[in-house]
Formats: sequence, C-alpha cells, structure tokens
Amino acid sequence: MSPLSPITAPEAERRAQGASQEPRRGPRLMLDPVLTLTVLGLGICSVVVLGWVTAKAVPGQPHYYSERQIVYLLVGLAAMVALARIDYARLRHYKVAIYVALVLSILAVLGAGSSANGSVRAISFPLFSFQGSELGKVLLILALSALVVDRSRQLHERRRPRG
Amino acid sequence: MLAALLPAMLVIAQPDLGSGLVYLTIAVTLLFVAGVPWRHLAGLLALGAAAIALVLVVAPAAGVQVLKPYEVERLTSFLNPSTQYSTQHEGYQQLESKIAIGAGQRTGSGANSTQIQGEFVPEDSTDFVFAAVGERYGFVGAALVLSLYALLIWRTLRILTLAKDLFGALVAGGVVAMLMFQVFVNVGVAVDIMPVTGVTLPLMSYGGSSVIATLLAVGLLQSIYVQARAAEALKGRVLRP
Repeated sequence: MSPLSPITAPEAERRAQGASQEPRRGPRLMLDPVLTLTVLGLGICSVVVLGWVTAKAVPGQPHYYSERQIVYLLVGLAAMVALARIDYARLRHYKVAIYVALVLSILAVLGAGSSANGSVRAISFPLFSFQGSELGKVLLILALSALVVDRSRQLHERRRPRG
Repeated sequence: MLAALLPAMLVIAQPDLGSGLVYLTIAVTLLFVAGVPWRHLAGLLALGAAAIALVLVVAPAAGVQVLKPYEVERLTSFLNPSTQYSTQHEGYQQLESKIAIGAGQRTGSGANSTQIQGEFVPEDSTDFVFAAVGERYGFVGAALVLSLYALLIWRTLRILTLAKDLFGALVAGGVVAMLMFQVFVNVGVAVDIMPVTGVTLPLMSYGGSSVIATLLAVGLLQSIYVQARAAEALKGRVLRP
C-alpha cells in the first residue's frame, strides 16, 4: 500500500514528476556575473569619459555623443543577451554563410562607404554609420573557428586506422 | 590562414590597417589554440616579418611605394620621438597624448584639463580616448580602466578553459585575441610605444559598430559559459547515483 494518502498523492506526484521533467527544459540563462559586471563597468566609464570629452562638440547639445553611446551600449547589451540564449555550437553549421557575409560586408563598405580622413571605413545611415570591419572581427572568429574544427576532424579521420 | 588573408587584405585596402592586423592576430591565435606545432607558427611569424621588411624597406629601396608616405611615417614615427615636435609630423598626435596622460598625474586634472579641452589631442573620443581618461582622472582612473580590461581578459581566458568543445574554446580564443590586441595596441599608441594604426579601445571608444561588435563577442562568451554550465549540470545529474 502506498504511504501517501489519496489527498496528498497528486501533489507529491507532481513534485516527483518535476524532478524528472527538469532535464527537458532548456538551460537556464545564467550569464557569467563577473563578465557582465565588467562589461557594464567599462560601459559606464565610457559614457562618463565621453560625456566630458564631447561636451562642447555639438553646440547646445552637451550630451549628444554620450546619449548616443548609451543607445549603442543598450543595443549591444540586448544583442549580447540574445546571443547568450543561443547554443553557439549551432553557428558552426553556417560557417560558409558567415564567411560570405564577412567578405560582403567589407566589400559593401569599400563600394558604398563614405570617405573620411583618406579612408573608406563606413557606410553612413541617417542614425548611425556601419563599419563593416568591426562586425567582421566577430564573423571572422566564428567562420575561422568552424573551419579549424572541421579541418581538425578531417585530419583525425585520416589518421584513424581503418579496420 | 589563407581564409583570414582575404578579409584582412580587403580591410587593409580601405585603408584600415588596425582592423587588418586584428584579423591576422585572430587567425594566428586560433591556430595556436587548435594546437598547431610551434615550428609552423614560427614559420608564419617569419613570413610576417619578411612581409613587413618587404613593404617598409625592400620595396621603397627598389622604387616601389606599397604604402603612402604618410602611412610609412605614421608606422615608424614612434621609433624617432625627437622628430615629433611639429604638428606637420605624423607622430605629434602621440606626443600630445603623452603630454595629456602625464598632466593627469595621480588623480587627474579634473575640470582644468587643458590638453583635451584645448583640442590638442586629436580623435580624443575614439582612438585616443585613453589619453582623455589619463588627463581627466589621472593614474587612478587609468588604473581602474586597465584593471577592468585585465578582469575582462582573465574572465575570457577562464571561459576558454570551461568550454565544452573545441569550437567553443576556439571562439573564446579568438575573442581574447581580439580584445588583448586592441587594448594593448590602443593604450600602447596613447603612451607612444607603438605605431598609430587606428585601433579602437573596446567598449570605451565612441562608435556604434565597435561597441555592438564587442558586445556580440561578449555574447558569444556568455553562450559558451551558459552551455558549459548546462553540460556540467547534466553530467553531474547522470553520474549521481
């Protein structure tokens, strides 16, 4: 006979099921606290310093650049949280698309970018300017890492004796 | 390495030498993390040194100018500090930056800073933002910022060791190479021990592309951390009797 009474049984069963259902849930989003706080600290330092440096850059708008930097930081932080929710290993399968996007973003800047101080580094849009080489750093890391992993696996397959 | 050369050469053609060098540094670091033998890495570094010698010494001697004269001067001016005392000289930016950092002394010049407010330091919100930190907040402010970067790089290396697979370790290795190169070169340029290459200080320099790209890289690190923790938790659950 079960030690549980008929009244308490459903609740206890649910508790017991909860433990077995836990692995079905996706990983809880626990960001690295040290990394997150460090990034926030650098962001705050940036806004404080830029607020002072650029106070006179735009007449009548002392916070023009620091406010824009805050917006960039908020957009970047949202992108960071979104990316943290994705299993990075999935990105390995898109290595060719990532590499093509990398080359195209640089070519787009070379073709349609605006010239500043003798170099063409960014495409100017009404609210921001897109610098392909900056995004390219992240795309290059992903594409090259995937390429190195695939190459490493191929080499291991070749070395493994067939039997 | 060849896969990295194409984008690096395209970026250098913009011309954006700093980003091109970041690309090449990322590529070499990924090979190192992947376990490529030392002799292969030494061969790559020797090739790099030969390419620099070819561009800066051999080609000009043969009458072929690969780089524009101002680019050569910008890359080599830090080797001759005595020739920097002219605003016509490429190295004057670094001289002004050094004066700004020195003026900050222990706790900074505060609101009385003259180098930055007087617009003596060019690009003080982007490439030379460290000079602004040094003058306004002095040694204390500069040490705080550098400590935050040390923490960021240490944490990135820690995540590299936690990664559940080779791909994660390589991505973290690429990010640490990107961050370390940019911090060392940007601060090195500001204190006049490295050539001016136009590298931003991650998360400090003004600019949407730089800030968002750096935070995307940090997002990748966070994903590696989250997945490593999930894999560890799962392993613990399976192994538990």
